[in-house]
Amino acid sequence: MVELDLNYDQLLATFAEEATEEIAALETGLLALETSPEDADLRGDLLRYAHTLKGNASCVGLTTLTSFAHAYEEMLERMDGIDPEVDRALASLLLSGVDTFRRLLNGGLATGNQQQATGNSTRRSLRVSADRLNRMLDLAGEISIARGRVQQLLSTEDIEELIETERELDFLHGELQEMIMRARMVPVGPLFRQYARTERELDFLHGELQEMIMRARMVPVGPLFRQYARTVRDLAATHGKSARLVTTGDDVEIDTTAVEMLRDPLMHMIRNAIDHGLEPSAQRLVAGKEATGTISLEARHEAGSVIIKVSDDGAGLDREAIAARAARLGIDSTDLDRVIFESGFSTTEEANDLSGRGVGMDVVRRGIESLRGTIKIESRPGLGTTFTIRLPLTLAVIDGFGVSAADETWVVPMANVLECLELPAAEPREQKTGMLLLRDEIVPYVRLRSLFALDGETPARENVLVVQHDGMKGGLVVDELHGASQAVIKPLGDYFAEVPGIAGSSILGSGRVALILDVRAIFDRMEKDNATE
Amino acid sequence: MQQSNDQYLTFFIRGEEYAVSILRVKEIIEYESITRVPTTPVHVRGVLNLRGTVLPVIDLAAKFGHGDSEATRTTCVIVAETALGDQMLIVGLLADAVSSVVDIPADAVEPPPSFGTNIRVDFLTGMGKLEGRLVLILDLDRILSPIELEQLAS
Repeated sequence: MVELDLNYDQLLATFAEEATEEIAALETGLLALETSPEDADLRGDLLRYAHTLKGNASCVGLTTLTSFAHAYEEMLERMDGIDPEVDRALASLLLSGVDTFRRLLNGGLATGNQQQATGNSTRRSLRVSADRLNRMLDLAGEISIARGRVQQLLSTEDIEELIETERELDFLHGELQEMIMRARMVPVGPLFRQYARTERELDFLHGELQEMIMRARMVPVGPLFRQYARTVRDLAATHGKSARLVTTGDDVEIDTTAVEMLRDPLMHMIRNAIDHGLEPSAQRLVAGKEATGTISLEARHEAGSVIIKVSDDGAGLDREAIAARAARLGIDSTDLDRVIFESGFSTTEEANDLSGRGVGMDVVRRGIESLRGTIKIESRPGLGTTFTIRLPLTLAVIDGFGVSAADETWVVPMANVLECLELPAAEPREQKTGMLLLRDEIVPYVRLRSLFALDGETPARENVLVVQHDGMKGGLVVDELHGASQAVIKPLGDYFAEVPGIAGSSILGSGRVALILDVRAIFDRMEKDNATE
Repeated sequence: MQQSNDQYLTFFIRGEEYAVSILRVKEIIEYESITRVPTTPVHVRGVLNLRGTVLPVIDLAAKFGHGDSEATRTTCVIVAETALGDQMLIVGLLADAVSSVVDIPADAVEPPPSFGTNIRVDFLTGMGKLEGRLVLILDLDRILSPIELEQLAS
């Protein structure tokens, strides 16, 4: 664990970029609202922009901008769609406010930069759009397949097909080259004259490229986490509280898109933790806690997902207040956790600098959902609240262990694998589950072909892969064991919302798709099945 | 140049001729080994690797309630674009055989009759009259609806 120091000009640069976008979005939104003042969704969007802007400005310590944003938000709220005449007048007033935002932003940045004028870095970095990276990755994949064909054809010496493939390969290579040039990465020389000789070279290049692209997409979460150090310290101070940020798993790498999408949700969760969660120092001392509260951010990989936890050691959720408020607003309060994420819900009566407009948690939920992730709240009275975000890995390489069952290959994340052995001949062949005695320890097992209702006959000899998750141990009975290899995780795609027991897919050397098993989900399912039997 | 909307790709499923707008078709690939995905409905044949992208493959015969398809020499996968909620999705559609690209002008398309079509009428945008025979024009966006996805998830 590290306690954080803060890189202020990096923070400021990020803020400037985002604030410029938010101000522009406000402007566009207001213009749209002038023509259709009754559009409630649009008004909601505007509120969110202003709210985020306010939060971010206060995070980098631009007080004038923060209070202006606060007032701006207040005015936005007056536009309620009741009187179009009033709304239109307000909209044009607010539009002129957009210019004020810009002026305040520039002024704020100028003074901010003066504070930290020295020490500019010479390392050149380049922004490459994720779309372009994706396309490059696709092309690299196409080359890999075409290359496989060349290899095959070289052995058959079918000249005509060879020429045809050459042409295709040449075209793909040209296209890739162009993409790379456009992205201003290393230019690649013409390689394709005598491809029998250069094939080897291309092989290397291709592997290199694929890895480079993948690496380029993955970034450590540390810098993202560190951005909140100032937020925590300053916001706590304005509330007469004392807090520090502690981070774990800074070097866990996540997809760059996820970083962008997580920025606002994390901000809102931290703000909520400080406003609603942490108690004032005096109160904490009475409760036997340290005077300074702790907000912690933690990241780790788990079964094809990234887990990000935001926790505080405060008082926990005030469930009574939430239930009462939900009842007053006419929201169903049976699922308190969900109520918190409903739009327009807040327990704070008076909006303040931190929270209270019921916008924050709505932003959180949307942000996480747009990444196809889930969020859960755990809260214990007096001990604190933990938000657990689970995001699917969009693109990552894992160490996997390949097994086969019913003519399909399956990949088990190496992190789950403990050992493997042959299933003792005495074990029954037709049952779905059973138990093994392994060095005096009872290990329950499940047959993969029964679990997934795969057809085909159970072979005479079967094998067991002993896997673990969260301290729980179990065996997966499969036909054959293939051994360890690296696997590129690919999502199954939007068509499959969630397939129980499957964490994603990976492409095998043969070009066939293999599914990656989700050990956690398989254990969950087995426990559930056992409980209902 | 304005691209004509009257062009369709026709293909056969269980001897019946179907058509989809050519604008939706990305490519046609040979039937290769498809990886089954457990716990999905019978019409979800599985996934395949299309140049590094993992595509779901739908067995239209099974979707239309005719039982799942046996792969033959002519079986192929039509890679097509379909709307799912507010996003576009690329899927593979299993067809017994691909026929041809044809012109069916708008005035040769009629609404489907209320019965006799062998598949649910709401999967169709219409019946195309083509050289004296009828082809069933599919509405791809309806065949894979988000509602069905919810069933998938449960």
